[in-house]
Amino acid sequence: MTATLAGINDFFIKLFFGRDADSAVGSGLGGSDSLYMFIWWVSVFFFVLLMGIMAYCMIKYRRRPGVPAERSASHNTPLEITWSVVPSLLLAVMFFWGFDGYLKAQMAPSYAEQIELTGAKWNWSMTYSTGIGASQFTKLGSNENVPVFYIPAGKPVRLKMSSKDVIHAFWVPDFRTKLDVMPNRYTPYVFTANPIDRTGADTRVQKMSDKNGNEFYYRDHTVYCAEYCGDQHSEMMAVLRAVEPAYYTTWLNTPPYDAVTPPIEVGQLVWKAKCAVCHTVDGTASTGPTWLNSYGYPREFTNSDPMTQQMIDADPIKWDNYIRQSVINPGSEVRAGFQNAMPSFAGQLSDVELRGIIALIHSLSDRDPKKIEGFDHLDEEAKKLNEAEAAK
Amino acid sequence: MATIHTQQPALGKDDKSVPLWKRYHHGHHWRTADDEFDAAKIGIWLFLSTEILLFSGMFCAYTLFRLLYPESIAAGSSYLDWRWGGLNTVVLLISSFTMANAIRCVQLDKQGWAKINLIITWLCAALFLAIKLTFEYGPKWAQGKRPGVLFNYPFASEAHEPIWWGIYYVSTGIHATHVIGGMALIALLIYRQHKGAYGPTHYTLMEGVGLYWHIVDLVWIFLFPLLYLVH
Amino acid sequence: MTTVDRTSEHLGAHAGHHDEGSYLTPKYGPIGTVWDWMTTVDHKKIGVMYLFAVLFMFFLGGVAALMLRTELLDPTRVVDGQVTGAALSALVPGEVTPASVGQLYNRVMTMHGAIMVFMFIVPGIPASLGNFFLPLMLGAKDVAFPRLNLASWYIYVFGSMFGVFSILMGGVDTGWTFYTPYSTTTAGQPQVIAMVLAAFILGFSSIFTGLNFIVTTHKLRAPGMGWFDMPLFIWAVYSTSIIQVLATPVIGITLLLLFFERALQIGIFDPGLGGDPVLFQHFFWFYSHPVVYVMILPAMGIISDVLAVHCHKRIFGYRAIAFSSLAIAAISFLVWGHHMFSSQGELAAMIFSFLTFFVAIPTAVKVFNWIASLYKGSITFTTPMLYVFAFLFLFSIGGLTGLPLGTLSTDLHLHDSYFVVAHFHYVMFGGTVIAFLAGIHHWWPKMFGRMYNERGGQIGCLLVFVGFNVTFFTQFFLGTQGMPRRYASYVDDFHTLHVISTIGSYILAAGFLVHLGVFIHSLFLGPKAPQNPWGGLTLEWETQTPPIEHNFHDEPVVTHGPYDFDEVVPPGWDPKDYPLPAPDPAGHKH
Repeated sequence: MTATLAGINDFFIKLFFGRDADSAVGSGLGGSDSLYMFIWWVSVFFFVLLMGIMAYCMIKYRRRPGVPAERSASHNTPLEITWSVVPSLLLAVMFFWGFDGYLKAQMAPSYAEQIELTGAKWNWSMTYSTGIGASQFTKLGSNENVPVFYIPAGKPVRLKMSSKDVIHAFWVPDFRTKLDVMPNRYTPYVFTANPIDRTGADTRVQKMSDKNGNEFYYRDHTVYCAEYCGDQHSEMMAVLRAVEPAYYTTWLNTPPYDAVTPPIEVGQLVWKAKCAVCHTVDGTASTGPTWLNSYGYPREFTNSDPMTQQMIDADPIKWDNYIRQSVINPGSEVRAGFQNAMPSFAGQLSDVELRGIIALIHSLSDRDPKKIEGFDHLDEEAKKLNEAEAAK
Repeated sequence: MATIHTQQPALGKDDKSVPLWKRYHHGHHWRTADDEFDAAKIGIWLFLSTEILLFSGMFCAYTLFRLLYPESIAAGSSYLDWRWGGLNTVVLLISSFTMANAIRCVQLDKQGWAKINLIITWLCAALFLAIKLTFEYGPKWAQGKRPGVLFNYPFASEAHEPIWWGIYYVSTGIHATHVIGGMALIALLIYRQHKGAYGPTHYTLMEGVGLYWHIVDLVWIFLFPLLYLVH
Repeated sequence: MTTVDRTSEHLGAHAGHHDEGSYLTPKYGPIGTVWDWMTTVDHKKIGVMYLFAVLFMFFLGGVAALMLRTELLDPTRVVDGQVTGAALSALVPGEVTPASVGQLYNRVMTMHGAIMVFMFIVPGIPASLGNFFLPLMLGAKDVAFPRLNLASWYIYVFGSMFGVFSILMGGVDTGWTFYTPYSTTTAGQPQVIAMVLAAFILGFSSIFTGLNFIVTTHKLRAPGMGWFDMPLFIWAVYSTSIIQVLATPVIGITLLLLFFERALQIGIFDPGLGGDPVLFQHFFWFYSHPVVYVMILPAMGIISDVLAVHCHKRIFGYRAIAFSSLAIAAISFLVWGHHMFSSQGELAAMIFSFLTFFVAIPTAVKVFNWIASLYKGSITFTTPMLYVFAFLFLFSIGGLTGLPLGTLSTDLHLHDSYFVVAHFHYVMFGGTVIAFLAGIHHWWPKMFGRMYNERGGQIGCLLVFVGFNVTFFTQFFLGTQGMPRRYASYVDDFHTLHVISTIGSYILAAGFLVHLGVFIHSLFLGPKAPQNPWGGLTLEWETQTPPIEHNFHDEPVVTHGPYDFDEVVPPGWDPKDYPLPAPDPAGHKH
């Protein structure tokens, strides 16, 4: 009997949530899923009771010609008090249970892993204690550059969240909790992802190996932005990849790039993590200008003087400076035909990353800054040197 | 509600020799003139409660920013001269008194005094705005003490002074708008009173405008210490 | 309740020999008639104009909703450089990208929300049916301030024009909630300002209507009508009006500040300038939470009245229902913070969650009373009554699904998800719109003097009921499974449920088309309506159909309670058609 009831309950949990909660807050006895199911069964009881009485009356007391409505009481104080008080008691249970769970979802022990999370229109980025960020990307919906963030499974984690522009909200449905990401203060998102089950009982746990050949088990959780934030609100996703704490430590200490990584490779990673949501590299339109064939071309601005071909010709690093300026203070020169939608990345890109971005944009253009007149012989010499190098 | 006895006049409706107020007949959907008068008073009180709630939003914003940036609010407040604000308070208090007086005069059918009181009320309102514009808004605006993006005061000492000016201009601006509205209504009263529309048995509009004018005064009584005196 | 016996001469006083034309009878030529309607201070004409205006707005908002559902039929994907699942994009020129799809979706989403909330559901029932029937049910000739009523109508038109103007200029993408700093920084300066001003102006219309109704209820009740002899619809509209008068000024100042924030960047709400975006949320919900009761309370009033009349049954627990309306109005001012569980501190969250449960009790009490009123009734299955059943079914679901949203730990998951969308629509559509439809059908004969086609109405009701459930019940599951609201696209897991929901919305639209057909048919070809087709006892059924210009030939005197179906033969009915139950043996009256 109890087994059947538990089975029915499980059936509804699956129906509602698709799968069990993957966090300490949601799962287990007393977790928010069991509270939800408690409310569900209370609701079902009252709904069936009310609709049952309604259906009974509809049949029993339907109008028959010549038969008047029966006389009945205009009110019944004991009955009315009963049906006010009994539901109130149930509501009190819901309130206290819910408040208890809410507090659990807000508090993290002091040893919790702290990671900084930044929301911006329209992507998430994380900065780990070792200074690294996301270096892997995956496809979700129509977004091909959804960042993958590694987190330690079974260990409390506290995200220190802030927004660069408008209000966002960080929601991991598997963890059953969300919190707003505000532009003017930090907010904490606390969770403990369920440990990784290597036995294969959890079909969502998978195995893969990283670029250094280390094998590891992981389970992915989707992150959504839950507070409306504009054009690509629905593309603002991320993946939390829960891995075993030991592997997490390894991963944390393997920087994806350093000072000797080729700048274009760095640029590509930075582009995926921070820029791809608005700037394409294949010429298609998006919120911001595409990077394909842009370096070295003249530009018109809505709020300042244009960057003319002469200026570019006269100054070979004009475009490098323009990119730098656009990253640090995007509102100063807004490209004609586009809105001033970009947040500032001042202080958020290292010199290596900024160099990478410039190198990437440069490499995507079919145009180099015009050679400076009177120095053509240098080109000739460089060409000869290159040929000599190649001949070796 | 109504304490004044408002018996219906028995005189003919079209007799020009009879003052307008004696010929007034209440709206067809009312049973008695008393009911109509009471209803108008309930209506105006409800409307005034919405006015209070409207300004209470500004008071909330003021309180919050006072807590968030006490230095900026204090600095902003110190730019205001309490003497001009105080003078304006006195001007408004006088106008409130003359407004109440005008109603009393109408109730006693002293039409000449009523007119003088109404005109003084209107002049006080105009004086309030004149002081506000020439000695407060004008010089401040010229010095660059303006709200938000328009702020251009080179000697600002605190970072959030533009917010202070935002609160200052919006709250006093909404109040000034109410004063302008009040002036229009008082002008209407002067005209109608001149035509003999109000007397002991009918002065509903005067009563309503009077209550409105007292609330405008009351709001200033709150704004004045908050903006000028509390540092 | 008053149960003074009806004096027969009073009934005879207006038994047919005044043959005065109804308020609808044109007194002038075509241009004169139009001018007459445009300058009328007759609450009935203003009510009818409001009715058509809000229904037109409902149509516009509904078209937007169908556009949204059509867009969500397929998720947006980029396949070989081509964007698929972008049904709406065919409507606008320009290159299709995921960003442009989102941009368009967000504009239509805002249009749906802003129109439905500010121009349809807030003014909706009070301004149309309330305007028409509040004075009639009170036995008054008009509302207390007829000219203010006309002014309120023009303010509504003026405000709506701003809203429509903003949409024509390219639309707004802020969502109807105008959250800062998004709304102060997003593109489209003139449109955003126009939409904010529209909501601001519409607020005045709301305040004036509410003020008018409060005074009317206080001062214009017919002789003999005490507070507890008022129909429950009046109690509901009265409670609604209190909220309108007390809450609307706060949104007024909020929108004004938002306007200055947008125009002058005064920095009150914009964190970039030192402002506090959460202050905006507090201000906004201090109005917008009470205002959901502005939307639902009149609907509850309609349900009480329609249910009693179509069951010929005294409402069970009259005072409990009347007082619960007032209780809901009062508590509604204390719970705004439950819209911000994910953006405020623990203490505030606890307090607001606790207070939120207090709203649940009077609401539940009402539902229990309605169901108990069916007991021993004489229940018909007319369209209005079917809508009452639909209301009880849908509103119960709406109310019960509010529980996990008011409970803190479950709300952390469900907040800003499709669960909220579904809950909100179950309450607002399953509650308010369904009750509005019950009310329109119930009072249609009185308003226009013609019966509607009963079978047509029943078919429409069935389609609306089925379509609604298919559309929105699926959204509960979308929400619990993790679909965030206001998404133009979604991951593949949610595809099936979205398809079902969209199909439901088409069934729903078909239901409304049936109703539209029934109404148009009735206006031109419907049989003439009798004075009192359903056997109601409230005062609007005592006057002729449609009512004369001044409502009643003679001032009505109230001699019985609004629901004394056990004691009184309804006006205009032959006692042969209305057998009264045997007298109470104990001889006492309830």
